[in-house]
Order: sequence, then structure tokens, then C-alpha cells
Amino acid sequence: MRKDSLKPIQMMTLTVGAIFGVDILYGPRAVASLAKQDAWISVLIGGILAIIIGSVYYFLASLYPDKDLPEIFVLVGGRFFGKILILLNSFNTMVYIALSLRIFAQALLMFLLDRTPIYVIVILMALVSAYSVYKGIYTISGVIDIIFPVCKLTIISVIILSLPQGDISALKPILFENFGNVLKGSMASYYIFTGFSTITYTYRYTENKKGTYKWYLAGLIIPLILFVGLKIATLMVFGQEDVKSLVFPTLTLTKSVEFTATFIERMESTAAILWIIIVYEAISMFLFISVRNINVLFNVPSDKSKYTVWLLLPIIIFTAVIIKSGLKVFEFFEYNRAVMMISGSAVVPVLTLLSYIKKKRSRNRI
Amino acid sequence: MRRILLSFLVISLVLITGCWDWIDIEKRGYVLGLAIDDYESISQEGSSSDQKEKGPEDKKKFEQMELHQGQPIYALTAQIPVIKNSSIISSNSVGNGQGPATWEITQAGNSFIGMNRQMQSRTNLSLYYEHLQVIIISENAARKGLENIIDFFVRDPEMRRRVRIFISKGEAKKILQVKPFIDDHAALYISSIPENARKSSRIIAKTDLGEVIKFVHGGYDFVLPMAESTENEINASGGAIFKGDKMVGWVSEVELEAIKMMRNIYIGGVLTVAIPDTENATATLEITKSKCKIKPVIEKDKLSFDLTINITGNYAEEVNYHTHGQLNEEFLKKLQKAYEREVEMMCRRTMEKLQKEYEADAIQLKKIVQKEEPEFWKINGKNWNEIYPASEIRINANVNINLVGLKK
Amino acid sequence: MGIFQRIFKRNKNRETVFQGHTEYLRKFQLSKNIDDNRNRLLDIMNNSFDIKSREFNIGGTSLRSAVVYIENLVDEPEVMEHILKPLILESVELISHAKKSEILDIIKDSIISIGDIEDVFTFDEIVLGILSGDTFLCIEGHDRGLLIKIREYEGKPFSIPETEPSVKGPKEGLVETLKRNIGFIRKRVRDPNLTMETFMIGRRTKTDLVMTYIKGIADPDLVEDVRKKLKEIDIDGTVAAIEIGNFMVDRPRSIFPLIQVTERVDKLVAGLLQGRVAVIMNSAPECIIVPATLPILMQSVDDYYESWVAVTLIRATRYLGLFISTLFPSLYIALTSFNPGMLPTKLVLSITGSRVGVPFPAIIEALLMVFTLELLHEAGIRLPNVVGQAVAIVGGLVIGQSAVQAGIVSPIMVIIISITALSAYQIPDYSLSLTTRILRIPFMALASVLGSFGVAIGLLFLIAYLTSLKSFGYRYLSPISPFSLSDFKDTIFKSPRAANTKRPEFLNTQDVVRAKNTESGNKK
Repeated sequence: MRKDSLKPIQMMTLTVGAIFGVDILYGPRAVASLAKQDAWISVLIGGILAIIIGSVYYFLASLYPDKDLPEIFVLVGGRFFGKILILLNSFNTMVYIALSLRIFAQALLMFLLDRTPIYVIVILMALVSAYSVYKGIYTISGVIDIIFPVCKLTIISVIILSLPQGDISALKPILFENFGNVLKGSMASYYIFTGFSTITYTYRYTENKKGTYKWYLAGLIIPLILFVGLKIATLMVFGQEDVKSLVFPTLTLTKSVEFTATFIERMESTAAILWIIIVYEAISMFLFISVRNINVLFNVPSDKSKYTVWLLLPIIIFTAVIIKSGLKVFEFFEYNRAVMMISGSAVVPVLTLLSYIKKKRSRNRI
Repeated sequence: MRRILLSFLVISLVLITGCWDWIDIEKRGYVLGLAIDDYESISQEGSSSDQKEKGPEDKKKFEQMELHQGQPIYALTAQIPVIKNSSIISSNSVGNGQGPATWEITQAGNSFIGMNRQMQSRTNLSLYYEHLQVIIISENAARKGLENIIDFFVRDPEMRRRVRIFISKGEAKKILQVKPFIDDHAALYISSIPENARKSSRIIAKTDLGEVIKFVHGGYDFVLPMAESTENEINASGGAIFKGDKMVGWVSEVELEAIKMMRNIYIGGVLTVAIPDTENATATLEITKSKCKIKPVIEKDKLSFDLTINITGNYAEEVNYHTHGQLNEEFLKKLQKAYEREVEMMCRRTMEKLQKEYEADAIQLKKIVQKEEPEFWKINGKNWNEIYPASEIRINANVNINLVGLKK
Repeated sequence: MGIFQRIFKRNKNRETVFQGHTEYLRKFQLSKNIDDNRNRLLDIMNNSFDIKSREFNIGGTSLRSAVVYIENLVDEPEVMEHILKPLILESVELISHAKKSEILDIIKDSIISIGDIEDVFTFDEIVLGILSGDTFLCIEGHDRGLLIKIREYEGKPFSIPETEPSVKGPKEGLVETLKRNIGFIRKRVRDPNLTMETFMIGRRTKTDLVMTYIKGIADPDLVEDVRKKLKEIDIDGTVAAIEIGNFMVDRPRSIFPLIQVTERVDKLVAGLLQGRVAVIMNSAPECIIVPATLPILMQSVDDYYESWVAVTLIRATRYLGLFISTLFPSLYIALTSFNPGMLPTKLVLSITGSRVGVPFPAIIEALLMVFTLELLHEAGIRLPNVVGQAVAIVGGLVIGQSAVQAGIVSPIMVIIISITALSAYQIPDYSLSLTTRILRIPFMALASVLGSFGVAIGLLFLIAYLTSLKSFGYRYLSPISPFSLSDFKDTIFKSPRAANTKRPEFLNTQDVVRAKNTESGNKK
């Protein structure tokens, strides 16, 4: 009987799980409308930026090997200021979860079910994720471990299978007077990588702190490659004018793959199931983060800490269901993500610097 | 434990109240094919099929519907399989395989989703479009513009982008009413014809809804396959040219071949040419590969194109000329030249027609200019409609005869 | 003396006093008067007829003594031969020269030539001993008695495991007698580190139980855990080892089996060599091996006898069968009633064709067929072999075929249910196949409300549940969930060297390397 701990490779799977979320379905549209046929370059740049900032996060986590982010906030920022940070972080995260649930339910309604009320889908998805969080990070990581290969393979096959229909000339002309748009698009793509901050929460559970960096990096690179691949595939198959007008480009992409008369004649069915899994992963991770935040914020004693998730659940479900307009949800989601990423990218490097200096000073003192 | 049971009970209460999306499989009407006709043309001429049936007035009455506003523009016909009459039933079921295997419902109206829902009032099955194979649009409706028609199909999540589109000469409804010898359903029959595009160059292989949408949104011109029918057969060779989203004319089978070659979607076919220095003798080439490179050339602000077509094929058949074991290099070389000339002539004639008569850029030169010469496009893009008919197109074909079969 | 009177006075409240209760009996000491002792014993045993007592004189002297035993539990000829005979006939020399206080010791050390001998003082030990098949000897004037073990072990000499057949390999199964079972194991593992620890479980049954493991391989934490749990069991009694298993697991209400129950000796020994712990009980032909994880439950002994390619394919089929058994009917319901768009067009048309005229919606059909399947299964177990054939015919042909022809169910449903049933039966562990049968129903319910989304959600719940399930502290899904590459080589795939070189990593064994020679014959 071993003590439970995460293996370094799970840093990769957990990060990938958290990054791939709801935006895989409709992400290409926003960026394509800005950067047109060079949208894939935007994603590439956004991803590289994410890797850089992500490494800063990793560094912060490695400075405090047995603490996670809310505890670091409190430690470095002081009790008052740290808790404010946690509060903001939790608020953002919970809004993210609620909006993700809502968007997920809307897309599911469109492609799989029809008349089922939204709250049913939202509640069920929230329940499954909450159940995993209740059982602990090891359960979440266990489920993600099992699902991970299936998930990634399906995405890769969607990309590869839609390529023959695509027209590579849709990517041309490359960077023709488009550079400004590409940069604008990169900011939008940077937001897609929300979720890379989960390293700061999962780091303390790994048994073997050495060697996790390369897995974390892999966990950032894999989404990067897959996002770029998806972007290229959608551009090639639809052409950049069409992508702008699609609400869910990736799902529509899967609809366009077809093998006549084989059993998997329609790729979209596997894609729909796949998507349920992806959203589950993201929501579980973010829910876990929220729970940790709330536990540290209110100093919940550790024997009661696993019940927090059931408290959070009604709030989140309520938020998800209450928004009336189906289109506005996307806007809110973009704002939410932008806020999270910008605040994270601003705050965390500063914190890291502060902690580094602190550590150096305390080392020198000793 | 009690907690789990309680939550389980609560959840199941909620779930039991609805099986909101439950529809039994046999209660769905799978729309296999749709035909879209222009309403005025039908109502004026009177549907030829209607006259054969009893009670045309009653039928006409059902086909009308009360509209919220406007006049009926289109007539939508949906083909639904009648399962109990189809040939795939096993020993158990009710019904005996006689009777028509499909049911075509026609509805007139001006909004497709409206017409769709109205049709539901005439059938107890829930119409289901996820297995839609083909949409046939009549010439008259196509001339009015495609974008109106396809908006519904693009927006609705039940549609798939691989639905094939055909343009029919005459009434679209008639094509669906064909009773094929092989398949039970005309829609399945016609949608699998393009799979033979490898054999016959006169069918276009890849023209599905997705392609059409892409072209319409991008502002490209394109060509769609034609369909015409007799009582039991459907012929799908030939094409319809679209400028923007409106149809402007037909191209014949040979012209379609040329367009395919130039647009690089030619995947197989045959080409017959007269053997030089003979009378009445022809040799046929089975083309296995055809690739076309288009290079835009800009001189002094004037745009012209160089098309190079590379064809590889096998010597397939000779008529009225028998080599009897004397097939040799020289002969083949002569033939190659003859083929090249033939191809160039075909293409040139077709381009003439496209440029001068239809002014439609069916081979999508526009796209090439946009991609390869973006500076030129930036300046002159808005004048494309004038530039295109005036650009010079130089065609050069290279034919390579590869194999000769089993006989020399 | 007041104590005796209290006993002889028929206590009106005797029914409420559990007279066999150890603590109560402990109060009573052996008396020097053998008549008192004998009477008391008979009284405690309610004068059951099979309690025999024989009085005699020792060694020609007038020293009276008595032997008490239960007729069918002891080996009577041996008792006569080795206790009575020496005491009566052959002990004259020794006894006549002995001092009074030494007599019992002399008897114990020099006269009785058989069995384990134990000194006893209180009635709890005596009663337990007699009930276990020992012979009780008391001598006039001594307040110490002897319990001599000459038990008779009746029962099958060996058995053939019927519920776990295998194609190749030894077919020896455990029997109901503990002693013989231990013999089977010892014969196969001649390692002095093979440890057997004994326990006694059950207040009324006082069944013997043996926990066995190989010291130096098994994780000491695991051993300690099992030991602790066995000691804590406090129940009336049990007749099957499996019930004991349920007391030991962390989550007794779990649907998934957390212990492995087997009748086969080769599985038992393989488990011991892997580093697991086995518990065997008297009067039960099954043993429990812990810990049990899902991959372990999905293994069959044949896997180790065939080539690795064949085994990999077979195992893959088995795991696929696990899924099919749980999910197939629900997938059918979900796909046909909610998303027929996911199936190919021709398939949809033919399914629709076969369902025309069927009066029930798909879920009712599915439930009906599942119910019929369960009926058939239970009936098949109850009926004796002779009649069992008829059941197969009735079930398969009559019910299935006729139902289809009457138009009550569609032929597609019959196919689906048959495949589902077959997949359940091919799971090597019976409890696990029961689990899949249980799980079918909630999945069908989910599918009927929410279609494929419901199935996906249910699957996620199930996977989350499984990942957090632990059997004796080991994760149920090792090595799939805490992924361990070296163990995974023996789970679904079987690589040629996998099973023989190392022990399973997740078991945290002390001795890791199993073999220096690999299967392919190369020295490592």
C-alpha cells in the first residue's frame, strides 16, 4: 500500500485536461475573424506566449513545493492582500465554470439532444465533475489518465481525416499585410490556454518533483500543436470566409468527415462524446481549483474540506442557468477568460519575483 | 449512504418527468432526398405527375399552406422511405412488400423551415434530416439564386455538409419519383452516382453542400452536376454553371470534362481522338491522372494565365485501326500529340464559352489570383468581373501514354 | 460448591443465557471429582447423544479417570489404540512408581503416544476442544485435564473445480476440509517462508480460518491489515469464506467485488507468489485472495499457458466484453431512439424495418429481454443437469424466436441481448459478471432519458467511482489508473516476458524479481 501521489507524467495529462475545454469547439471562429487565413500563426504565437508565462507559473510552484497557489498568495501577499487575490481568482474561476457549463449545454442541445431543458444537462455535468472533485485529486487524475489517450487520438484523427477535403491554398497568402491582425489574434488565442495555471495547484501532490518540468512543458505543447492543427484543418476545409460565419467550427468540421457505409460513418458522434469528456476534464480541474481557493480563503478545517464542493455547486449551476441570452454567453466567456489571463499574467510574475527575492534573502540570511 | 439514496431519488424524479428527446426509431421519417422546385413554374405548367394521380385538386390543397406573409416561392418535396414496403424486411413484420417503397410529400411555401413543419402536419412520422443524402434543385429555382435556399440547410444542425446537390433540367420532383431498378429509394441511387466519377469524367465527384456554401460565401463561381431522369433511371452527366449564387447556364458533358481538368478535380475518364493520317479511325485513352497547374502572369497591369495540364493514361481501345502487334513508340508519340491538341481545343472552347457567354469563372481563377498575387488583387480585386472575361488564357497540355493493356 | 449447585439448579432463564459463551464458561473450573466434570459437560452439551464418555482405571491402580469425546469428530479406533489402551494396559509400570502429582505429566509425556496434548483448566477450553474433535481426559483428584487431538477428517479427498474450468493446466480444487487444503498448498510451495496463521471466527461456529502468505514477498502492511481485520470480526457464525471476505473489505456495499474468490489451487498459489494474501476457511471449498483489482479479476489461468499474441487478443476481447455486457443495451436504446443520425443510413433503415410493428418502445423491449435473461440465468443455476438442457432450448428457441415472430420484440433486440449475455458469461470472475448485470439497468435508464449524453455521463461516474475504489489500500484499477507501464504489460496485452520476470509493481512487494530467465529463454 503506497501513499497516494501524482506521477510526473500526470502533470502533463492534468494540464492538457484543464486547457482543453469548451473553447475547442468554437475557438477557431474568434481568431479567424481577426486574423483570417493566418489564424494558425496567431495560435502559434499565443501558444508560445502561454509557454513562457506558464514557465513562470511553474517556477513559482517550484519555489513552494508543498503549497498551492492560494497558500502562496497568502504567504507572499500577506493575509489581507493575499485573500483579496484569492477572492478574485475564485470569482473568476467560478464564472468560468458556470459559463463553460452553459456553452457546453447549448452546443450539446444543438448536436445531440434537442428539447432537453438546459438545466438538466448543466446539473448532470456539474454533478459528475463535483463527484470526482469530492473524491479527490487522485480520482480526477485517474479518470483523466484513462480518458486521455482516447481523447487525443480522436482529435488527431479528426484533424487528419478532414485534411483530404481541405485545400491548402486556403492558407495563402501567408502574412500578406496581415501582421497586425495576426498579433491581435494572438492575444485572443492566448486566452485559449486558460488552464495552464493548474500546475500551481497540482504541483504539491507529485511525489517526484524532479523531472516534472518537461512533462509540464509537454502538457503545454500538446494543446498548442492540436490547436494549431485544428485551426489549419478548419481553415483548409472551410476557407477563411466561411469560418467566420460558423458558430461551432470544430463540430461542423466533424460533420464534414464521412466514410460511406463504415460503422463510424459519421465522425460527429464520436466527436460529441469526446467533447463531453473534454469539458468534464476542464470543469473538474477548475472546480478543484475553486474548492482549494475557497478552503484557503475561509480556513476550512481539513476534515470538512471535501464538502466544500457541494456548497459551490448550487451557486455555479444557478449562475449557468440564469443567463437568458444564448449569444451573450459567448461574449461573457471571452471577457472572463481575458480577465483571468491578463490578471494572471500580471500578478503571478510579480509574485514570483517577490518570492524569489524573499527566498534569496532568507537563504542569504541563513 | 442515506445521502446517496436521497440524492439519487431526487435526481431520478427530475429525470423521469421527461424523456424529452425520446423518439422511437420507427416513428421517424428519414428524409432521404429533397427536391426544390420553383413554385410558379410548377403551378403554371401543372405538375405532370400530378395529372396522373387521382384527385389532383385534393392533393394541391394539401400542398398549399397558410403563410404568415408573402407568396409561395418554392415547392419542397421530401422523400421518405415507407419501411413496410421496402425490400429489407425480414420474416416478422406486417406488410408484404408490395406498394411504393417511398413517399414523396410536396409542400409549397416561402420558408423552408416553415414548409418542413407544415409537412409534419401531414405525416405522423417525425421528419429527420440527418440521413439526407441529396438535394435536387430545379433549374428555375437555381436561376433565382441559391443563397436563399441553402440558408436553412446551413443553419440547421441536423444537416450534414456532405449532402449532395444536383441541378435538374425540368422538375426536381420528378427525379425523386424515379423508381430505380436496383435501390429502393431514388435518393440513395442518385447520391451514389458520383462515386463513379473515377470511371466517367462527366460526373462531378465532390459537390456537396459544404462546397457550395464555401463558394457562395467566398464569392467564387462554380459548377454543379446536372440530373435528368426517365421513369427508372437517372443520368447525372453534364453540369450547371453558377455565377455568384445564380445559375447562368448549362455546360455539356464534354465541356464539363474540360472544366474538371482545369479545376484539377478530374479523377478518371476516357478521351477519344481521331488517329492522325487515317479516316474514321479513333483511339481512346483511359486517363488515370490529370493535374493542372495554373500560373497567373501579370504584365504591365494586364492579367493572363498559363494553364499546364499533365495527363497520364493508358491506351484503351482502337476502332477502325488495328495495330496487330505493331504498336510502337512512334505511333504512340503521334497519338500523344493528337491527344494534346484535342485537350487544348476542348479547354479553349470551354473557356471561350465561360468567359464570353456566361462570364462565369467556373474554374476559380479568382482564388488563384487572390492567393498567388495578393498585391494585384488588392488593387484590382473589385474589377474582377471586367478583368476576367478579358484575360488571356493559354493552355498547354502534355499527355503521357503509359500502358497499353494486354494486347499490342 | 455453591457454583455446582447453581449449575444443577435448572436456571429458568437459561434460554437467554448463551451457555456456550466462552466468557460464561470460563468461570467454571475443573473440579477434582470426575463425575462432576462429566456431568457438567453433558449438561452444557444438553445431553446430546453423540457425546461419549468412558470411565476407566489407569494402569491397574484404582485411579479413576474418564475420557469424553464426540463420536463423529474423533478417530475412535485411534482413541482406543493410543489413549485407552496405553492408559489401561501398558502404563502399569510408570504409574505405580509415580508420585500423585506427577501422574498427569507422566501420562502426557510418556504414555499417550499420539496427537497434540494440551493442559486445560476451564470449561471454555474443554468444551471448545471437545467440539473441535479433541478427546478430553480427566483424572480423579486432579483439577487439570488433558485435551488430546485425534481428529478425523472426513470429506472429499480432492475436488475438481466446476465453476472455474480451464482448458489446460492442473484441475485441482480446494475441498471443504481445511487440513487437506493446507496440504495442497504446502505441496506446491515448498518454501519455509510460506506462513500460515490461524484464527477462529464466529461465536457459535468457531470456524478455523487460516491466513497464508509468503513472507518476504507479501507487503508487510498488507499482511498486518488482513490480520487486524480478521481479529476484529465478531459474528455469530459463518459457513462460507466469502462472507468473511465481506467483513474485511473497506467498502462492503460496493457493487464491484473487492476480493477474489476461487476454488482453484493453482490460482491460489499464483496469487501467493505474486505477493498477495489468501484466507482459507474450514468447511468452505473457496478461498479468498486479497487484494483484488479489476485486471486481476479479469485474468484467467489459461492466459499463462498460451502464446502472447493469442493471449493479447483474447484479453482484448475479454475487456471489450466487459464493456459490451454493461453498455450494449443502453447504447442501442440511445442510438436508435435519440440519435439515429449516428448510425449509417442503411443500418438505420434496416433497424427501422425490423422494428415496424413492434408495440413497445425500445426501453421496454430492452427491459423485458433483460428480465427474461435474468430468469433464464437463475433457472439454469437451480435446475439439475438433466433438466438444464430443456431450459436452454426453451429459453433460446422458444422464447426468443417466438417472441420475435409474435411481434413482441424485434429481432435486433434479441441479437443485442444475446451478445450482451455472452459477454457477461465470458468474464472470468462470477461476481464481476454479476456487477455488469447490475450496472446494465441504470445505464439503460440513463440512456432512455438522455440518450448518448446519459450514457457518457454514466460512464464518467462509473470511471470516477472505480478510480477511487480501493481494495485493501490498493487502487482497484491498478495498473490502468495509477499507470504503471511494467504492470500494464500483463493487463490487456501480454508481452512475452511480462509475467515472469517481475512481480506486480503496485503490490509493493519486498522481493521484486521473480526470475532470471525470461520466457524467451534468454538470460537477463
